Amino acid sequence: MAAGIQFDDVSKFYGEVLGVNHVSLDIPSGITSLVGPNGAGKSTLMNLLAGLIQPTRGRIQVMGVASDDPERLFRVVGYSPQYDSFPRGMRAGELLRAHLRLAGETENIAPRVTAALEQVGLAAAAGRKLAAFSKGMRQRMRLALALLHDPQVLILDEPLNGLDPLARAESIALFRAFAAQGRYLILSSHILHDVDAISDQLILLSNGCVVAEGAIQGVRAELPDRPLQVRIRSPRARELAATAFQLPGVIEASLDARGVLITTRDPHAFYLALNQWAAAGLPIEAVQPADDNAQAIYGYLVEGAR
Amino acid sequence: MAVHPQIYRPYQGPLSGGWRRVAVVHHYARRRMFDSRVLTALFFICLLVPFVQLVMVYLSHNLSFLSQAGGLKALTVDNAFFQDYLHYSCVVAFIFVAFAAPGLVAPDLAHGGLSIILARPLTRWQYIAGKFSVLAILLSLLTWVPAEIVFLVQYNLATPDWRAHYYWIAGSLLLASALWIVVLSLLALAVSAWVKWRIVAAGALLGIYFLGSGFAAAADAALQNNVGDLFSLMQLHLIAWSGFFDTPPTAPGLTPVAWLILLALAGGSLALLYRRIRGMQVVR
Amino acid sequence: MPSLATHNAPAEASATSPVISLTGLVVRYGHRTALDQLTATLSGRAIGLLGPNGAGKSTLISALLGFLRPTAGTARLLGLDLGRDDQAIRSRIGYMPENDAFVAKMNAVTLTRMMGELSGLPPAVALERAHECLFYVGLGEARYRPLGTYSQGMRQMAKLAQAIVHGPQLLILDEPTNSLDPPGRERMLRLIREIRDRGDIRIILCSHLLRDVEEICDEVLILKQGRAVHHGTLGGEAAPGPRLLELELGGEPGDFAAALQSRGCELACGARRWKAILPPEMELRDVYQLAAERSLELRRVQFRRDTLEDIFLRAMDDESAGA
Repeated sequence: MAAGIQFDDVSKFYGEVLGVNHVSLDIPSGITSLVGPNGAGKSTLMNLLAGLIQPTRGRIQVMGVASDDPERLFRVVGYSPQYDSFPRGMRAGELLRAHLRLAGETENIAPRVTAALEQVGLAAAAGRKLAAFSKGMRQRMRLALALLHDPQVLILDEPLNGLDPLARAESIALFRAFAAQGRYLILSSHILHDVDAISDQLILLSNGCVVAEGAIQGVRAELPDRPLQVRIRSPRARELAATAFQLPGVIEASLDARGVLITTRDPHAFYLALNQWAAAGLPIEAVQPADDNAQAIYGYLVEGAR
Repeated sequence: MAVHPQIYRPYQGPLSGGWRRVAVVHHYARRRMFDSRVLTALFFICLLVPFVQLVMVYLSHNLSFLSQAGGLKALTVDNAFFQDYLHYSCVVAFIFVAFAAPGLVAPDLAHGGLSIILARPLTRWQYIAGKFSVLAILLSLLTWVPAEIVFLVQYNLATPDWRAHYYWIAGSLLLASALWIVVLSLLALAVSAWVKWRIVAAGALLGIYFLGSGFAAAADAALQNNVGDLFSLMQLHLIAWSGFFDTPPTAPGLTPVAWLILLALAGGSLALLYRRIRGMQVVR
Repeated sequence: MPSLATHNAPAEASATSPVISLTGLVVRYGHRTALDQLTATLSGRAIGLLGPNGAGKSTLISALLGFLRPTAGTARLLGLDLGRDDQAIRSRIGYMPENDAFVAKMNAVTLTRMMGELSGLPPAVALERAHECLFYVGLGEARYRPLGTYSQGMRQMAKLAQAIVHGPQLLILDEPTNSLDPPGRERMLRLIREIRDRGDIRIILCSHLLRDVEEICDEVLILKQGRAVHHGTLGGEAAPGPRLLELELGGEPGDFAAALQSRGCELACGARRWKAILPPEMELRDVYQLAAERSLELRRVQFRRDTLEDIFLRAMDDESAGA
């Protein structure tokens, strides 16, 4: 298949030091978040994807292009690293033009540069020296550089780091638009709340191995030995807790400042029962899953997180 | 059984006064300086000069021993002797400063340490005073303190006539050393504040000194006068010291200029230093 | 016409004394005005300081710490006047900067005790407290190693330790969760919450992560171009929006959407999350009835209320609309 991103039993070692170990992935289009503690292998994985390093073992295919074919790979992939070092004395527009030329493009350079700058909201700063850019502007500049050659695959390392809330919202909108075109966006983040809100898929790395991958809800469902936790706010919390506890499958119903926390082995039965109780008149203010999110999964699966 | 949870405890005890902070800056700067074995060794090597001078003074009062050893001419211990002695001490002290000073301010600047140091109840002047005091005390130990000891030994061994004639040298030693200490400490601190790498800073200081001297000598030879002396740190001081020690000035008429240059150096260094010591990182 | 400072001070503000009072504070760098007639009284337990880059947050913090002298205006912190009692103010403030802040080749213990002594603690007490605070933030054996060898997370913790070592009354935290991985973020936020809940230390939290600010702060000041564009309280008391319901479903929706619409709801259906505006005569109970009839799981049910992000984006818009 000449589409998609596949990792086929990939390992990467730096001498003795572990990068990633036995990674097999099939990444679909949309927004995929890469999550894991520092040193888990996120940067290694991204560098492998971007073709900047070669695996010690295994194969990587990106949109049908093997990762050891830089000529074609670099056209398909756009990469925004976590740190930058821009050439001295250059201005924003200059650098983008230079990059396009380096990629062998000769036509339409100026409009493409302007378009890239506009996409990230740096159009007004085109003529300014990069050395004078603030942290947030540098972040957006890296994004512009990655988007410049219109890649099918975007790889972003901590793309929201240092951005103020406005810029974050704009970047997220940009990511969503990009993914909506059927393209592939892989980003790494430590802010699990963001991961929940914007990603379609999650890849959780720990100690160089993939410990979980897929849509977040789907991942959660594959942890059956962990009972589901649901938090419910209700003015008649005690009654709700008592009633819930009667239900087979519910192993714990506790009360705290934020409401009732139900732990159950049989979520389906619980939700249906809740429907009945609520329809019969039990007042409910809010229901939310307490652990069906990236934060909880991280805690369960990553060693040493708890 | 009692369980004691580890929680944060507030502090309600007494707080020390403002100028105690200067001592804190001093203490940690000095401790850091002598963490380096090289610097400690260098410091003690620099103390050899006064030791040699002490021996010479002692010997000068025991001429018989000298004539027995043969060939060593008698030493006249007078104001010129002490000026020369201080000259050598100060050169040696300068070498010490060149290697010791760069580690004073640069480490605080390198990783943003100043932003938390100056967030303390500490003024910039107190910070500078703390760092300066380290150099001042160490340089004193290398210059006028041993010089005064040598002078005391001499005073004890000398005739009442000599004492009446030269008692004022004690004061001159102190003043001359103070001038040297102030100018050089401020210069070294300013270099430490503006130059990141210690080797480069040491090189810069040594360069200012030795290149200046070299240029001065060359200029003097070329121009056949003494104006070139104004480029040499040591010569500038010697010109100023001629007033303290009542010795004939090497370059008559240049004395006020020399003083001006020295004061400008001190003031300029202090201003540069003050500018660099800021809590706020400048955002462009 | 932009609103400069909307005060939603609730009744409980009178119970807590003001931490900071700013009156017409102006800071100018040459031609650029970084703070423009800033006037606000902050009295929350934990105050969020927000704004886009260049809005003046760093300038305000530098001014409060006495790093720069305001061009005009006055400020009072903890009952002391800025400009007159600077040293006294600083002895009561703990500052955790955004960027790296340590002395080269120094280890955490030496740095923390030196900071303690510089704040006026006697040397023996400073050493004890340094160890206590380093333990509190979770730096174990690593405290004897030079800070230059620390990971980012550990450096953040060391910065927090030196900020609390002298027992300040006001803690200024600038992007405290910067570069921390998820467990590190959790730990840092937990520590900040604990410190806030003590009651004797006020916190100013400066962060771009609105979620963190929402979780921790009870009052928020939003700056833009040197002016306050929003100043109000945060908390559960914020009135829920009129009948806007967020749902997350499990199972096949079937004709659930049609059923809701036939009852008069307006619906916006995403892949997983639905938004519904309930008509006045409809209750949540009725929604549950419809779900029960179809054996649908309602995994998430929430009335939408203004998040801090909404407030922030609105504040930014207001300004540009009126400007």
